[in-house]
Amino acid sequence: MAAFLQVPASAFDVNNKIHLVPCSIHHNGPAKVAEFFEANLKKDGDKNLTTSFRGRPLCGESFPVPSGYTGVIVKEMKKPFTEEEDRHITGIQTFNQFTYWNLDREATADDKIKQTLDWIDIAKVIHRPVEDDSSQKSVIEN
Amino acid sequence: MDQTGFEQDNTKNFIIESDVPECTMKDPCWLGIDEAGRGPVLGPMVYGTCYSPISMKEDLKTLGFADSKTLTEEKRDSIFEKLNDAKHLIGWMVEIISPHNISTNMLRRAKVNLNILSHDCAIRLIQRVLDRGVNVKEIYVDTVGDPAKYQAKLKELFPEIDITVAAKADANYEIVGAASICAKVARDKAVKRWIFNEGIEMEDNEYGSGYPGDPNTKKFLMNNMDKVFGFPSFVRFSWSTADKLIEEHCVNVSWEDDDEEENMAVKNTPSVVSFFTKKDDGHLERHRFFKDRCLISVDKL
Repeated sequence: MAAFLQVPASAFDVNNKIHLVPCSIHHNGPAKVAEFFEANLKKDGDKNLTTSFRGRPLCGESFPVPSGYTGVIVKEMKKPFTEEEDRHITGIQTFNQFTYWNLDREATADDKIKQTLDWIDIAKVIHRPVEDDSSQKSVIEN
Repeated sequence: MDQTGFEQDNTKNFIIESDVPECTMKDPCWLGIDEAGRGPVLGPMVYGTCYSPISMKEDLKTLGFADSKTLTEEKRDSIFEKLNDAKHLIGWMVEIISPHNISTNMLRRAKVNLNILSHDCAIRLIQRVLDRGVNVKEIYVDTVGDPAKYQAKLKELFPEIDITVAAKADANYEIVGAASICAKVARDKAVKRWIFNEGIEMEDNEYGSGYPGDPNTKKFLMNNMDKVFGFPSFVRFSWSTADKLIEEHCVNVSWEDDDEEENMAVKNTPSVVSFFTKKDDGHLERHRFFKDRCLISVDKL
C-alpha cells in the first residue's frame, strides 16, 4: 500500500481562518464559524484573544506556521475497502497562520502546540549531514 | 437609562450610574441592593443599587416602590422616571452582567456558581458607591443563598457599615424596592434591545419572559439552535434547560476536562496484580521530550 498526498491549487486560497479548539466536535462539515465563533471574539493584540464555545471560556493566540512549512488540512475523499489499497489524501485548505485556543487558560510558551514545534529546530540539527571537518573531529583532536 | 455602551459590546459587563447627589456625600445614607433576571435562561442579569440620605426614609414611601416583579413594565418605567426627578436626593447604579459572562464563569474549569457571581457583583457596587464618596451608613440587601452567611461576608468587607441581608428585602425596605426597579428597568431594556452578534433578527419580545417554562422562550431556543455552536451568546449555556436541548439536538462535543475527577482516581491507582507482572516486555518507552509534546511518528494512516 502507498499513500499519496495531493494538494490542488484550489486549496491555496489565502482567505482562510483556522481555529484549533481544545475539544473534539463530533461533526465534519460546514459550520457558522464567522457568526457564532468569530463574532464574539475579543482581541487584545495577536495574543490574549478570548471567545467562548458552547458557553465555555476560551483563551487563544494567533500563531504562524514555522517558516519553510505550510499547514495543510487534509481529507480522505474515499476510504479504502482493503488494507492493500493505495490511499489518496487530498489537501483541502492550506494555511500559514492559525489560532489555537486553550480552555480557560491563557496562552503561554508552555502550551503543547508551541512546544511541539521545538522539534522542528532540533530535527534540523540532528538530521544535518555530518561533514568531514565537523565538530566530531575537533572533539577527538582535543 | 443610556445603555448604548452595553449595546456596543454585549459580551462584557457594563455599569450605568446616576450623578451622585451632593447631599448623599454629607448626610448619612442608606443603600439598597437587589437583582433582576436571575432565573431566566436568556439575557443578562442586572444588579441595581439605590442610595439616599437616611433622613429621607419617610419621603421615599410616597414614591410607591414595591417589589418590581409585582408592577407592570409601564408602572416600573414611571417610577424610574420619578426616581430621576428626585436626583438631588436619590442616586442609583446598575451593573449589567452579560449572559456571556454568566455562561463563561459558570462553565470554567473550576465552576463559579451564580451565588458567588451575585455576591461579587453586589460587593463591586457597594465599593463603587463608596469610592464615589457617598456617606453610606446602612446597607439593605435582598438575599441570595443563606442570608446569615451572606451578611457575615459583607460585614467582613465593610465593617463600618450596618448591614441587613434579608429575604424579601425589596418589599420591606423602600431603598431596596427602588434598587429593584432600577435593575428591572435595565434588564427589560437590555433584553428588548438585544443585538445578536450572530446576526439573528428578532421582532420585539419574541423570546417571551426568558423563563424556561415560557412557551415563547422554548420556541426561541428551538428556532435559534445551531447544531455545532449550540446557541447565540444571548442564552445562558450553564442553565440546565439550554444544556438539555444541546444534548438532545446538537452534535456531541467532548472536552479535555470531561469526567476529570472520576477518571483521575481510576488512572492513578494501579491494580494489585500489576505489581507481580514482569514489566519488561521489550517495548522501549519514548523519550519524555516526545511524550510531553504528544509527538508520535506516523507510520500508518
